[in-house]
Amino acid sequence: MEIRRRTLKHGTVIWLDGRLDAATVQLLRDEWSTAENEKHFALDMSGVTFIDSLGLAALVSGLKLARQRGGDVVLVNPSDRVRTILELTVMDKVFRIVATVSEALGSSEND
Amino acid sequence: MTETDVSQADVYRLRDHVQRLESELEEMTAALAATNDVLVPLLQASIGNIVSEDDIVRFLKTISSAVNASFSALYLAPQGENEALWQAFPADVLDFHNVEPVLVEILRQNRAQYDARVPMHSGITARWMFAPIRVGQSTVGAIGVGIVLTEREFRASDASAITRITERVADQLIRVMLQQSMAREAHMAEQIRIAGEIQRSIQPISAPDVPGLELASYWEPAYEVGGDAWGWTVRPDGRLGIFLVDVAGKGLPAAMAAFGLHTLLRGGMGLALDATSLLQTLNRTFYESFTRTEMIATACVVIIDFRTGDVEVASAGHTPLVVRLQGEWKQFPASAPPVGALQHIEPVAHQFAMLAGDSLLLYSDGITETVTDQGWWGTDNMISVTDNVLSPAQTMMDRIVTAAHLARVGPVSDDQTLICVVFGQHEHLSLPARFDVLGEVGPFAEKLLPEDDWLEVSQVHLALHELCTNIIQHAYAFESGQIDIDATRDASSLLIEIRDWASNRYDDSVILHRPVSSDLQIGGWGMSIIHKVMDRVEYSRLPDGNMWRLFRRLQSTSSRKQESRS
Repeated sequence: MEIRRRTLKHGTVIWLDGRLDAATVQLLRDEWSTAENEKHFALDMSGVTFIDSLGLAALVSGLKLARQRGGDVVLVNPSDRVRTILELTVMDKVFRIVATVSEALGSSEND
Repeated sequence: MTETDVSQADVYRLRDHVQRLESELEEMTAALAATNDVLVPLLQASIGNIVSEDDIVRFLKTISSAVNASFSALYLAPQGENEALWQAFPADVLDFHNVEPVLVEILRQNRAQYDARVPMHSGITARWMFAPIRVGQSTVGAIGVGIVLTEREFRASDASAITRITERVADQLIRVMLQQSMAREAHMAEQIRIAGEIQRSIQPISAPDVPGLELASYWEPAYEVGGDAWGWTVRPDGRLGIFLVDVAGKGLPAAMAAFGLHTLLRGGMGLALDATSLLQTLNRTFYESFTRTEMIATACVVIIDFRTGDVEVASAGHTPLVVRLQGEWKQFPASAPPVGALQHIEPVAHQFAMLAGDSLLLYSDGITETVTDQGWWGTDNMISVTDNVLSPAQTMMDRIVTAAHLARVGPVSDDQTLICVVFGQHEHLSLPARFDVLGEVGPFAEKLLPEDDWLEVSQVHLALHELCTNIIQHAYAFESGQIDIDATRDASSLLIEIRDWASNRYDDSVILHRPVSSDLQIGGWGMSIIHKVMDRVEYSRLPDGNMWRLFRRLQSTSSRKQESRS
């Protein structure tokens, strides 16, 4: 999986590309730990092909950190397959899921 | 007597006697050599009844000449398929009936007859000397020489010559009989070999090419031919018919009956008869055809609708059909006596439904009654060696046949047939217990469910992935190991078995999963996901690892298509 992060005016965008599973989840955990001063996150999931329970746990871990700082983690444009897994695990009720990064950060910012 | 006591006349008399004896011996040796030269080819031919009268006459002429006799005769008693042989020289000088009492006496007493007076055709009486031809302890014939009563008397040298000739004849006869016996044996062996090839050729060599079903078979007669026969055919009603017959007894008679039963069952299957009607028809025909042979046979008929998994079974005296349904082994015993025992039988059909991964073992008692050092091998051992795990039909068959072979003491004592049927298409994946290879699970799920919709594939993929992750984390605790995934699916169901060889067992906190909820508890979702996407999840600790069995009813496009078709 490839991961990129960029801090914008209204928050931080993290682009994920590939499989978010046991083998790659540490990359996302590392992003959370290095973004310790940020609280609003838009996770662009459009490139995620698969997510497992450990990947979901890493999402939740980031969400908890963000909410502790008064922020949020918003999922952007997950594929149907990923969305199905989110629904299956009721994570679609936990995360706000939107279509664009600007929608996620409540601004006109986009990549 | 001293040297000085011997007179000159005595010396001359003695010398003459010795010279006469030497002369006779020389004549006899020459005669024996001459008779032997014609004897060998004659006897080799005569046993096969292909010798001409001229050959025999030539032989007798030689004998007459050897002992300076006017007449000679040869008699060989009937042997096996060979008729009696009688010839006199000169021909027509002697009526067989005149000499028959003498010959009967020789054969009865097994010793030579000297100086038998026999009337000849010319009105004269000849004195005959017959010596028996002995083969082992039996007298198989006689050779005789005759001289005109008034001409001379038989000498001791005549008796010696005729006795030696009969000994040579006997030696040759033994050789010829041995050759004949070996030729007959070789001929019989060849006939049996051909029968074996024919019998082998009627046993199926390929599995039925029907969707959603695997079949593997083993057929081996105890000898060149045997009483087991099996077959399969796709019937006119679209169902797969499989049958196995086991004729009581072994060898050629059993094989001949098995041929007949095989033909009958194939014909009956072609008429789409149900299982019980097939057995009744088989019984009636077999009973009538083999009623004088006291021959019986067990028979089992299995009819499988490979589109729905519905199975119909009927058995006449056969070993119980063994079936693994959803991981549970069941046995369906015979409901009627063997065919051929009664004029009419009333078998009852068993019916059940198979789902993906269910299997069926149809076998002859030569498998379960394999003699081991602890008695018969038995059905329980046959079942236990399958390890109660999902396997391709061929693997299951190999395990059973190998285990029975290893358990056996002594030679194979009975014909052996085993037919393994596994319902569903089987797929297998072996993975090292590492996270970085779990990407192979997705393509495996797609291969397993090629025509199903992506939602079904995604969910199965997810469940498999979660379980593998769990095994790596909890069973192997990140140590190296292997994960084996065996999956079988049919049109409406999917069964997956995931096996590891880890020493750690799962505790209840893992097995008793927490339902999926929207709280922010991190972790513990893997098992919840598996339970949510699969209809049944079973765990068992094996002596050398862990086994998970996942079952899911398929509701995807292909299943719905299949349902509407059936």
